[in-house]
Amino acid sequence: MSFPKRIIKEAERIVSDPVPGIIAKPHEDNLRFFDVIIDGPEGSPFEGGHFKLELFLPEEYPMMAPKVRFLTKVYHPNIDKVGRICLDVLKNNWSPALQIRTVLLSIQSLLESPNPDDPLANDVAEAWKEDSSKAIATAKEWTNKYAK
Amino acid sequence: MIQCEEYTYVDLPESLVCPICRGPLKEPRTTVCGHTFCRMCLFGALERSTERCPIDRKPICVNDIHPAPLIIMNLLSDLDVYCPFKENGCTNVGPKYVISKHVQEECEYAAIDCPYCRTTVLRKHVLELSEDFSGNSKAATAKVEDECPLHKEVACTACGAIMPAVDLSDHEQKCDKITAACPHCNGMFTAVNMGGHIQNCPKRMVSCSGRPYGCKKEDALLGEISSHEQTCVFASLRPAFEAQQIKIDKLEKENDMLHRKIDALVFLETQHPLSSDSDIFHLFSEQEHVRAELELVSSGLREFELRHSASLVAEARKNADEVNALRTAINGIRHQIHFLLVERRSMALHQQEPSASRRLSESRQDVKL
Ligand SMILES: [Zn+2]
Ligand SMILES: [Zn+2]
Ligand SMILES: [Zn+2]
Ligand SMILES: [Zn+2]
Ligand SMILES: [Zn+2]
Ligand SMILES: [Zn+2]
Ligand SMILES: [Zn+2]
Repeated sequence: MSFPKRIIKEAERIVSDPVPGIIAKPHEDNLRFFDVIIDGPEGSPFEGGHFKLELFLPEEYPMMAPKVRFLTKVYHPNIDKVGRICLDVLKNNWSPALQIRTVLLSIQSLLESPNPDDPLANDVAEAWKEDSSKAIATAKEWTNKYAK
Repeated sequence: MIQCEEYTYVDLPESLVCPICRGPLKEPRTTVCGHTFCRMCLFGALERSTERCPIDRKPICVNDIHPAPLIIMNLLSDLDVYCPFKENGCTNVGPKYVISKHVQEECEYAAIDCPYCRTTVLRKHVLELSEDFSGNSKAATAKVEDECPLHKEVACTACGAIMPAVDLSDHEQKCDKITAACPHCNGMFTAVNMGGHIQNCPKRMVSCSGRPYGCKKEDALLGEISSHEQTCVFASLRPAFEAQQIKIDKLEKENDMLHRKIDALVFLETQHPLSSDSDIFHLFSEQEHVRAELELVSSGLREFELRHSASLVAEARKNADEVNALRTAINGIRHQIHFLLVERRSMALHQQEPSASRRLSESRQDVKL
């Protein structure tokens, strides 16, 4: 199988020069698939958790955004039950000048600052808006239960 | 004709990399906001999204996209590329036009059509053969009417393996039935093992690896030098020195690149003198400022090099800090130059509104030339 130079370069760089708190490993047989682990940011309810994600580069990449999904359960207003992520750069704000590492960084910062006003998981967003300290406690509980 | 579409650059500065395909810029196009992409990459991106710059998302319109400034093309064509037959063993590097001539005319590792049969063969094998026939190609063709001298089957005299004649010399390098004597200890080794043995041959005379940095130890047998290197100050500093040298080389290259950018800017200035409004004076002074700063950087570099040769540990650490400071300064200059380029473009556009179409056709001619 042959891959565009850009994908090969990105895969090499993300392995040789990883972003702190993020590990991304391309599949040996298919460089378009990455196994990703993002560490919960310090000071957030996700601190101490290691969140597994899968990342796939579609045929049209970089003209189309990568497809990313959480595999670990997360209590977060912008991440739904099956791990889909509500993030502008993954949808209409994608630009081909963005890279895998910038996408993963955006996801890491989404963990740091949840945005209940632009929700994907409605029930979580509601809970977050009604009583944020209770929601944060639940998020911590889920982190301990699923992401350790 | 040997075709080569893609060359690999020896060291491609980030400023000449397309932000979309991450390869060297191909047919570069610049947007009004001053960002440059390959033509295909930019139009591909615009087709799929609303018409926004992929870098800063400023709205752009297809009519506002222009060929990149000529100096970008010049910089790209001046940079060294590898010979495309590097994988076959060619070590040639040079600017693109030099390498493309090298491939067409002389590269020994280029795959060409065998002059006798239709298979491909490395040019060096054809050259070796015509040397054997002392350049008399008529004799060569006459002799091989029925069998290609390059691709006929031959047997290794040592191990008896059968192979095409062109592969024999490579095989002899690897054949485990052919041995030769080590020049230091006279032990017998195959070609494959010889290299490794010579590295470790106890009878080999070597010099201390700290010699280039001032060690006075005489050449001696390998064992003696290894134990000397354990305690030799110069040998232990070698990695630090080498790392410094690499950094200096890189900075010099970067500096050289910036010099060329500035020369090109100055040249453009004399070619199309701008009218004297205050903005342009500002541009001039900015440019002078950049040049003065570059001068500073170069003299700083020279001084840095002198000090480096004093070869002291403390100095090495201090130098590292200085390198970082220089890098920041150069980065600053790079930003300024980028700003200047953008400024020029929009300035030229505003200023020559009425004769814009003439200018456009002129610049097209430039590109053709
Ligand atoms: Zn490109
Ligand atoms: Zn832009
Ligand atoms: Zn070559
Ligand atoms: Zn032949
Ligand atoms: Zn043999
Ligand atoms: Zn020996
Ligand atoms: Zn020494």
